[in-house]
Amino acid sequence: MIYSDNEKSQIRYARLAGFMYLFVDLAYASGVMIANRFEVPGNFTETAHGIMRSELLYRIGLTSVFIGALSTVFLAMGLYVTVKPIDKNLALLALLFRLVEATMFGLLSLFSFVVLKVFIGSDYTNALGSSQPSVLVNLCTAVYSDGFLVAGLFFLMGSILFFYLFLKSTYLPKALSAFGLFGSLLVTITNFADLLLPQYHKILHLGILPLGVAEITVGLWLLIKGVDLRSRENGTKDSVAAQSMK
Amino acid sequence: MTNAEIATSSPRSNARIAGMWYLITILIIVISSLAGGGFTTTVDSIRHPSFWLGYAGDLGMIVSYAVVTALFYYLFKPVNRRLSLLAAFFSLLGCAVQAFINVFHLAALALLSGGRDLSAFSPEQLRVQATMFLELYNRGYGIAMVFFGCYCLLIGYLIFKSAFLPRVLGVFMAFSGLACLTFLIPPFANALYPYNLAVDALGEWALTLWLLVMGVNPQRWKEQASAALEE
Repeated sequence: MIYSDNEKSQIRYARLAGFMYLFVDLAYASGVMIANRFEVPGNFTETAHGIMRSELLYRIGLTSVFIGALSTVFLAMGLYVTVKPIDKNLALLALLFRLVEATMFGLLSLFSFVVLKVFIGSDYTNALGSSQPSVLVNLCTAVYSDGFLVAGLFFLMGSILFFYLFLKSTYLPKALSAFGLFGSLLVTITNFADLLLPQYHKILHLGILPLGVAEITVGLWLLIKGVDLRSRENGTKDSVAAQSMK
Repeated sequence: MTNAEIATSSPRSNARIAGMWYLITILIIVISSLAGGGFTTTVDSIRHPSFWLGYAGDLGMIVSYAVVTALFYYLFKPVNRRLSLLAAFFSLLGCAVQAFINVFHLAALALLSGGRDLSAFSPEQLRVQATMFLELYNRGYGIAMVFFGCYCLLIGYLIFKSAFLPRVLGVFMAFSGLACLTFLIPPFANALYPYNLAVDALGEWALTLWLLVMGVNPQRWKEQASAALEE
């Protein structure tokens, strides 16, 4: 099969998107897992001691989350170029949503670095005593976790649009695109519910699982199999044939 | 871009305008830093009236860099349209982060200015909380630098691949990008400070001067634009 330069570029960008899906998910997941390892709920001193013992590992965790936010720009660009032929305007809108997401997650990582400073900085405990720094940490953590939900909504708008465009195309198996779209819609609902009913956070948080599975599967599919432009060509030929018959 | 638009465009003057805006950006950064704006702001300097000059400079710099970004997008579009667009996105995200973090300076100032609502806290406690907001600003500055680092790296690559600017400028800009990316690991960036900022400045100043004095080779720019159109 002979591809035009544009199509070759589209295939390359689709593979980039596949790789970045996996990379971004890995960066976020590993970062969050590392940071959570240090958390001793309700015990500021124990958490601070744990962080001081392995400060480098904790920093790696925080940096990993930031790298996830930064890499979203490459992922968004890869997805945009891949689905642009389906609907240019919707693809651009999806790209813009994901760029806002990257900015917001990048900014949110600020708070985690400042929490680290409060944990290890003696100037805070000297001036504020032993109990008040934990109030600052709780405030920053609340901004961080609620900010994640708000930034997540921008991510989800982009994700819904990209999966919708994949569903409209023949680039991926329809079932996979539909599963991704379902996962994105489900997390949108659970995210809004989490903002309204934070007491159910632990249950609502599980809503991310189908989307996680969909992203990893789509990532692997795009990376290994790439996009199926041949069936799009068949589709075009069919529609041309249908029009000429009319 | 059509063939007629390429034929009537004047890339040399466009490049000089981009260079002029880059120079304005650099001058604003220098003035803002001297006035105590940006990452040079401290708990003591923030109450000085010159802080507002630094604050205005911080915001002005964002506007002028956004203009540079738009002009560079058109300048490097003939080299690689998609990479030029990706570069522009990185720069605009850096600008957005930098614009947002200015709020932290205002928060620190509000705490240090005191007021009836804050009388529950001792001056020392307010000072520590203001320090936290300045810390948030500085961390945010580092995050913006990482976005700008990706931008400089991509611009370096585009210059290297272009036929209308010397390749050595691309190498300089790539080093600028790498210097900015040191902010990815804040302790590493702090250890290299101020050499990392000096390397960054070298690349950006070299490009600015070249664009202002020499501009670009208009013939080669048009050839590359026409070739990109045919692809």
